[in-house]
Amino acid sequence: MSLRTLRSGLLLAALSIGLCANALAQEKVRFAYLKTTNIIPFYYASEKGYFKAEGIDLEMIPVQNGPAAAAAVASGSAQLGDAAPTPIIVARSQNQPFKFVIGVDWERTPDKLYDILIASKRSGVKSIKELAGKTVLMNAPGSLCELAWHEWLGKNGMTIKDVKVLVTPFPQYQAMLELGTADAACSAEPFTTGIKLSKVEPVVLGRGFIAEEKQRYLIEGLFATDAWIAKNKKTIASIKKALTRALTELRTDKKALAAILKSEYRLPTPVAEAMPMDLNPQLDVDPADLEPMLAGMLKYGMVKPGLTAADLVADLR
Amino acid sequence: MMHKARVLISLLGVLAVWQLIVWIEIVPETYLPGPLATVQALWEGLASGELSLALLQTVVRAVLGLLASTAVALGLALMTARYQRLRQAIDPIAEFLRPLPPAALVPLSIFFLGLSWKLHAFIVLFACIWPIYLNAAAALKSVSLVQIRSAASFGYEGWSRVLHVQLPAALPDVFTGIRIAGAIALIAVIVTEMLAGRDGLGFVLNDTAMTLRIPETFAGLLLAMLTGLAMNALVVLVRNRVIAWNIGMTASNRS
Repeated sequence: MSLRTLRSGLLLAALSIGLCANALAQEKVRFAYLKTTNIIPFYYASEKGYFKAEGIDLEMIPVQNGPAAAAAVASGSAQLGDAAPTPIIVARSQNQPFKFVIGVDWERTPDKLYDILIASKRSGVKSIKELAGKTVLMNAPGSLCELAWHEWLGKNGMTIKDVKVLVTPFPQYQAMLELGTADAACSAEPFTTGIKLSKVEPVVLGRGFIAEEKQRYLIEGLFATDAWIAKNKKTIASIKKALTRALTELRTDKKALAAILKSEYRLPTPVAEAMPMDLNPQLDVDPADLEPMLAGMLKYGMVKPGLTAADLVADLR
Repeated sequence: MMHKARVLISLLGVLAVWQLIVWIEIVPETYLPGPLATVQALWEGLASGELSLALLQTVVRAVLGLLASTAVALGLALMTARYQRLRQAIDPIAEFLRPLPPAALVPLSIFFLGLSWKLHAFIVLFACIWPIYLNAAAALKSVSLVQIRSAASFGYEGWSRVLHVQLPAALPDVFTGIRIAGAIALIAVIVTEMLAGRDGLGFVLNDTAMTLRIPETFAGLLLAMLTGLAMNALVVLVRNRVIAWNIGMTASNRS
């Protein structure tokens, strides 16, 4: 064996050891997520290797709803979950040790709101008060939509008993509104945009899940168990850093955004183009961000008393 | 020949009614694509790999689940045929658990099994064991006394009686249970994939519906139906080989 061959061999071995060490240094995090458009930065950061650059090996596990994400985190199949606050607040009240660590979507009156409550043109409904006796849709009991119906009907002097509630998955909304089997719905993106572009010609009855709430409140976020959070504050900070980098680039790179919408979501082009998206979310969560939602859930009996907003948010200092 | 023609005519009838509903717009085509649009979406899904990969994952889970369920259920039925007291203990449990729908078990099962292959295996096993077990146990029990006494006179007692006399006589009904369980296995796998899966046909069905890809959703449904037919045909094929002796003996098969 020549000296040159030996040297090359040693160099290769050193490189391999270095690569292996790098791979070993990566913190494995399994993330159970809902395929909302708020996950776009995760797809982008994964594709660009930003999580890896922060020492995070993020495995993305799609799940179908918030309770499934909660079950995945509780069982240890995932360390991080993505959900609306309502199922996590309910889970925490049932002694599941969940806390929010990262926020991915928010609302606040009047500057940051989604069109939530819509009525079909054929229903003739133009305001919340006209909903009395009408059939309204929500996606699941105990969901953000249940809270939204309580809130908006309550603000108009009505209760949820004044309407006929049908629990229906989001994808069925458009057909039911168009065919007249329902009059109004509590919707979410991308379904709201799909309905707006359809023959339903919807009238917007309410903007925001919580009626006229001026304080910022979380509507989707990442959660984990108390035990995992206690040991992984640095990991959470690294994930935030990678997300911030992704969001900064996505705000200017519309081509990359469109490419992810096409490859990962495969939404019809008109819906993808018209859909509102927040690429400037506040990633840090504060207990105050959960207060309006928790107060609403307590008021309408959606959660047992005794829970405070501080119980729902991790202290990452 | 006549049988095949009748099958073809009834299939064409279903397609004609489907197309008619689309033409007269009882349901707008946006929500109910016609047969041609559905077949086109199916072809594109298979060609792109999205549906073909999902189909493979679902079929592997369903077939493995059915095989495992058959092994467990048949083993249990044979044990109960040998030991009557065991049957008295197991039958009430089987009757009690049998009506539970697999979809109701998925959310709770995630807590202790996680989002892994174990979840799929548990749901399919749970859903498929009972129809196979109950059919097999009843068939093993209903073997005629004449057969059993004749076998006894030749020295077949205990396990040799169960395996060489009761089991062969019960096999036609065992296969009826497996056929029923075949469809249930597919349903259980698809439901699990829809509720807690990350791949497979059930996941694609949910994903396409959630991203407003209606023709693709119908293509997935059509593929699920075709897969159900194929699984049934597979079980019938195996049955015809294993119990060829029985095929010509029944009225339905003679006709």
